[in-house]
Amino acid sequence: MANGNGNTSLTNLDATSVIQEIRNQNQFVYKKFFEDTYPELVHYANSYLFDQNWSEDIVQEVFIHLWEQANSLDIKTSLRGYLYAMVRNRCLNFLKSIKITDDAKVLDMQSMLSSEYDLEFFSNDDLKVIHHQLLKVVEGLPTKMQQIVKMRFIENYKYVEIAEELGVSVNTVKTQLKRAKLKISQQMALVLVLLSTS
Amino acid sequence: MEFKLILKKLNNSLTEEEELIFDQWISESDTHKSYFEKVKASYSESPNVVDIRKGWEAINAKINSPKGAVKYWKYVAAAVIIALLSLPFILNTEQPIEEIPVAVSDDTIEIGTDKATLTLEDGTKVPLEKGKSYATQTLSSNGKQLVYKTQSEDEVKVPSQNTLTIPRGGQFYLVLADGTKVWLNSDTELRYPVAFLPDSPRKVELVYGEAYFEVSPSTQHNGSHFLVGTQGQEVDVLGTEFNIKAFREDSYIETTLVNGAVAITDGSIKRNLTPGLQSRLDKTTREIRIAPADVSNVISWKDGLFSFKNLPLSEIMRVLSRWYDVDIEILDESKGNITFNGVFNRNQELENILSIIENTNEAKLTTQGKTIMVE
Repeated sequence: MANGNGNTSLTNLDATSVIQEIRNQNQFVYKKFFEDTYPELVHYANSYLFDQNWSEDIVQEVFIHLWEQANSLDIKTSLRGYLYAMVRNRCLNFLKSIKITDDAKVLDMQSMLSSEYDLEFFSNDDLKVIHHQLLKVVEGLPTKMQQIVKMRFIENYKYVEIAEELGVSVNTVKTQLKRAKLKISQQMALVLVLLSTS
Repeated sequence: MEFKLILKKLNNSLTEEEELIFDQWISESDTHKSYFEKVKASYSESPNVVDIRKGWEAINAKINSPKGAVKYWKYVAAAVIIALLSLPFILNTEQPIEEIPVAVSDDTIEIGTDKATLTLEDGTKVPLEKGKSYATQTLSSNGKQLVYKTQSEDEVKVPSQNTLTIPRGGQFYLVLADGTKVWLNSDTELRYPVAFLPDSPRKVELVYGEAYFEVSPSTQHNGSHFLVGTQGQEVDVLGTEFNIKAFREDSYIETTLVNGAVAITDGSIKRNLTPGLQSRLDKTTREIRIAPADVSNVISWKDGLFSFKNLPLSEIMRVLSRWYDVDIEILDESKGNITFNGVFNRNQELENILSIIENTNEAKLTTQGKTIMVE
């Protein structure tokens, strides 16, 4: 076939241009952005809802909101971060409707661990609780793993920075984090006794 | 109730006091119970794969539903920001095209679709469109494409001629008996034999309109050339990909070579094209000019896109008129000469495209029934 353009992407568009193009109702940019972020947002929602269909519905609503209200959205952080925050709000609202609270930030901590994205919208108070919980749940992990988790989630180091600091490869960092997350989620129920009762 | 209690319940570590709170909560409603069950079932599971396409379809249905006013697109002549996702229209099965209910008034402007009329040698006319299939010994169509069967040499005596006519608002895909693929744009007519005689040139005629050819190489046909006649011009091909544009209202025939080599002849004049070049044959003076072309721009229509690069508004409107089957009236000539850039998906409402253009504040576009006025 002659056309070599295939499924080319918007990699050249920076975040500001993406929101600008969506405000201009550019469907191509919107669709590409959707395809790039939908799965991770569904997983994120699922870490609160534990139901894939509900999660998909909520994320779809968020995307429709983005399309329809693009002009009135006041996005201070990144567009992606904004969507994460919207998804989280809607999930928490849902939980509220079934009378579930999460003052102990168990869900926030878990979703933070499993998210590929740096969640930047937590308030300082929230972060305090999350970090506190995190320190407790990592206690049972091997030392190196613990160190990486702390650097990543409490000190907000990037993968590269952790790798440099510890003199290991970025891949090692990623693998360790992946294993840590798995371990934590498996042990979560077990370590709950340790969690603060605040 | 704190979420934590759910986890503690799963771990059988609730205190007596917590147990009471939990029991109270779970007995309150079925939704509570079902949430607990879901957490229990999937708490330490890794997440499932997310179906992006299904998600997009759900969204697409909502954001393109014709409720309320069309939002304004300010897409200023911004140039080709993006190389877009290109879907050849033969793959349109993947794109849900909205079915419009039968009783539409004549004034409804519709998005173009796959449709054509096949005229057999004896003059029989067969409408081909989505949802209708048609087959004979030599051909078959699923309503989106028409495919001729390869015939063995002894079967072929004097092959009959068929004509495929694409109306305004249509497009079609054709595979000839030699395996040559042809994409046909709106308002186009192609005449061709249902089979090709061995050892003689394979000859077809683009009566008018626009077609993209992917010619089955001569080497697979004992060296037989492929010839495309168009309003006096003839393109001689050895196996290649090219586009010919010669709409009835065009004053020239444009031949753009994508791959391979072709020779353009008109009477006694003969010019060779190399890939990336375009010849423009003036229909009245018969003068041929050859210049480099923006190939992907020229053939974008075949991939379901409109690609306008520095194109005068009057020409843009003409392209749109063929796909949406509308009439254009340029009330202010000076507006018709303003040039625009932009790439649009052909599978969208005309209204969208018109408001993008209008939002540049360069021209005013008014729709009356099926006529668009430019001033």
